[in-house]
Amino acid sequence: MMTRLQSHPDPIVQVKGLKTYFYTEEGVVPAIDGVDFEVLRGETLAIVGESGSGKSVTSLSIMRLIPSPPGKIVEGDITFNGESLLTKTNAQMRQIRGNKISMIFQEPMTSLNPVYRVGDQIAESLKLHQGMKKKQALKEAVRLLELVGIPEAERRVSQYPHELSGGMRQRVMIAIALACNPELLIADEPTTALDVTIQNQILHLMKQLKEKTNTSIILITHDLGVVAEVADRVVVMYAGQVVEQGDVYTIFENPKHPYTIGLLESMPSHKKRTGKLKTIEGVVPNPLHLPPGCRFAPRCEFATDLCRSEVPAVITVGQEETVRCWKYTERWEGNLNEHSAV
Amino acid sequence: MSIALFEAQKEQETKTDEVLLSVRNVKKYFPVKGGLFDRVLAHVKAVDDVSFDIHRGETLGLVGESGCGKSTIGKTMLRILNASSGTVEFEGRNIFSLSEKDMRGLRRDMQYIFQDPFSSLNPRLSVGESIARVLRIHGMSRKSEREHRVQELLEMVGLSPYHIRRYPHEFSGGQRQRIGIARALALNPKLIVLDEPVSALDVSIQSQIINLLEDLQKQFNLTYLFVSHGLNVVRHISSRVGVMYLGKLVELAETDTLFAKPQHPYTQALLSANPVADPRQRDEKKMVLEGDVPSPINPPSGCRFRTRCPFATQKCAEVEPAFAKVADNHFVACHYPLN
Repeated sequence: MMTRLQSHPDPIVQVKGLKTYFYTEEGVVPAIDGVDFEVLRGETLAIVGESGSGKSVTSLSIMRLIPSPPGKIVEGDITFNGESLLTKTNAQMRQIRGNKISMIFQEPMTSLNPVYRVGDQIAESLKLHQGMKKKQALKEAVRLLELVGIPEAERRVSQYPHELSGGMRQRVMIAIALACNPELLIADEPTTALDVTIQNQILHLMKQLKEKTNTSIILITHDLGVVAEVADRVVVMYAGQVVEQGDVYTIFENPKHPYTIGLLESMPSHKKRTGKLKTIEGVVPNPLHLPPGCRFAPRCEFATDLCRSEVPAVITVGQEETVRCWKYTERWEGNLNEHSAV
Repeated sequence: MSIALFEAQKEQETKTDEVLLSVRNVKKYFPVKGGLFDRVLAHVKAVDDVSFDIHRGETLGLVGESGCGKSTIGKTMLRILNASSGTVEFEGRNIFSLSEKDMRGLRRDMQYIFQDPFSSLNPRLSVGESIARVLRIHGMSRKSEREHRVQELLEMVGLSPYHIRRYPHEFSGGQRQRIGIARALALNPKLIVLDEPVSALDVSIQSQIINLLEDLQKQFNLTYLFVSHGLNVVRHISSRVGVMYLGKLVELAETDTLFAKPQHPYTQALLSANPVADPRQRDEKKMVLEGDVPSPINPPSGCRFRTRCPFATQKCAEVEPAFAKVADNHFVACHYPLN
């Protein structure tokens, strides 16, 4: 049984057996528990999951921004261009963050400094990482604002964040993230706080930028619509583990893991609107008291005694896909029927 | 009365075309104050001359982007906010002219469910106490009777009796929404305004709540106004859908018609921007709207959408389009409706 995907020749990021735990007063929370994936050059990898699945902690682990204490990366490795990020000193990490790897967060208002002009905030990383002088950096800031589609960029650089709308602020965040031509952009729910027409603008922009600059993108989201719109490959997380990964077409058209199937079916569809929605009964398990076997077993309609007692390994199916489910192993003795239609 | 007329009337009743609530020319302006003496400097025209009907037993969806006034209309409709002008008739009575006391009686029939029930539940009261209080205020004086009713309500929304003594912080988002629903149902309402009831929930929990709402509607013949920015959810649950833009209702039609043949350019843009969960459709040409929604303090003259509309002409800047009937059950406010 294979446990990992065959490595691509030159991935930009490799996450191997990553475990990030939080040591709280109530006990140890295994927020990420043995996660493997790769990000290829120039691709958009979507990490999907519900709240508490560990998708944001994964991105913070890559950025080495896990608050410690209580959090700690306890096992595994993260490499960026072949070099381990976990052995870097804080000073070395600062050279990488905002320079080679940038991040956009969900709420741009809290990640922009309200007392500095937008232009100065873009110029800051240019001065720091590229050694630009102030005048040159501000000129570059105008160019970046134009790049992300902000009209009247000349005027906007000297405005404060509160003078901009939500969509504009998110564009400014993207401009800051792109300032130093990063090789990897991590976007954590970049459009969740935005209206759908503005979300459409931002997704359109991200697609254009990827084509222009060939930046690799990790897109973290709970919105499968957004995933279908921009992702090349998809990693589905549940309770701190990757349950399935594959290319976007396979995930949407031929999902394997019962959780992925359930997620897709519980969405109100654009195709049919009659009949009841499929639901995944129950709730995400408490991370302090995880079930002993498969973490999805308590909510899974296929679960057998095997699922409830033993943890399934990650297995490779097809060419590029992995799934963490007993159903796809030779030890499976339960119902093999395709997902029952409602 | 002739027999034919009688027959027609009877048919009307069974078709549930009966109007439960009708909103006519409702405006809600919020004053913007400032200056030395806290003068009123301007008004935010959150809802500006909106009219529509809600039929008994139906779910009317109301969609639009933030700031379009969809929540304000919901609140104004139930007199949670006082309207600036216009009328709202509930079962034929103008609720804006009722006394506070009469209004309190009527509130049993009209309930409001918020996006985050956590902020609308008192953190110091157990769930049982929260719901029992509503019952007591509205005249259920016997404690045993209240306890029985609370238990019944919790079961109705899929919670266990042992949840009665728990406090709001002990519940997950989906469970809290169930509590909000139980509380709204406590007084056997006829109409419930659901304001983004599932927007804060995870996908797998969302579908549980949507199914619950649909079941309850059938069971108790409830009428819903479902306010949301989530187009897929609205499409699933609504029989008719209204689209709002900058304080105005721009289109209103039956759900299938609206999604298949939108006639207002804004509706079309909104539908086109809605991400579709099918990667094969991603490269289909989308209508990307430029710019942001203008300020509701000083909305554009004529048609409010004209500043972002690809089809706008001089006429759109000069004449405000009327909210006109273009087909049966289909209303559009546009000089140049599509199709």
